[in-house]
Amino acid sequence: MWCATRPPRQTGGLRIEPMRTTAARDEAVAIVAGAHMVALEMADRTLAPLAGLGDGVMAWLAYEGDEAISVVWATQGPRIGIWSMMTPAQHRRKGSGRAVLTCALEALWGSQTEGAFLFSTPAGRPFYESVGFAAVDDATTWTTGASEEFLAAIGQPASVSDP
Amino acid sequence: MDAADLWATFAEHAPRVMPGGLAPARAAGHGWFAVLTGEAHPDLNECVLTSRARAEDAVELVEFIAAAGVPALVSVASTAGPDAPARWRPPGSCARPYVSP
Repeated sequence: MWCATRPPRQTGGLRIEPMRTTAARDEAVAIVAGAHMVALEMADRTLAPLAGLGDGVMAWLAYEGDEAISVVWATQGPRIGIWSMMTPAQHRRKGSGRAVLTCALEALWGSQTEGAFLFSTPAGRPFYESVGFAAVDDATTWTTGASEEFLAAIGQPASVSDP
Repeated sequence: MDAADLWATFAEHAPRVMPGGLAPARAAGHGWFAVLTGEAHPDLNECVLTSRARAEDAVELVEFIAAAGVPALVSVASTAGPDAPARWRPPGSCARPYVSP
């Protein structure tokens, strides 16, 4: 999806902070791990380290009180990439996703910015459209080589025949 | 915004978000790219057949994933084709349901 005009910042009264410390990264990694059903150590190994944030990768967290309730990662450039925007189920419908997304875009959007892009799930598409993103392409996503445990967890049959 | 152009940008940015993992491996062809971390979880091994994908791109991608020996997510652009149509499905795969943003 593509957004050519920076959407207005909407915090909904939540505190939004850029990820600058190890503790904040730990909070962000925990949110992503939970949302993807990924072991914490796996998410920690794979996601950009704090040192990598200087490589054009940044992240923002939304806080309700002292608790981090949403995270978004972003890659900088003339086209801003939005990645792994996650909110645990118990914290949805509080506006925290909109808050971290619009604050991240406000922080990164400059005079040379062409727009922002992201890959949305079908479930997430209405939200992103409400922020100002529009679909450029549609994609069908498949899972290959997953374990029977993982397939069971996402509600898929363990044995799949080729079409 | 041109879909093929945007997929190219996507391929450029994706490895920056997930630079680590047990065995990071990145590769790209004419109409595909893969960002593998080597972790045993499909969400951490992301692959796309882009708008420029042809039949041979699908073969190359499947071979790359098989060589890495990891589970993966494979997204197929609706604009891919005509030789690698959007309804192409990786051998032995199953649909990935998404339940939440």
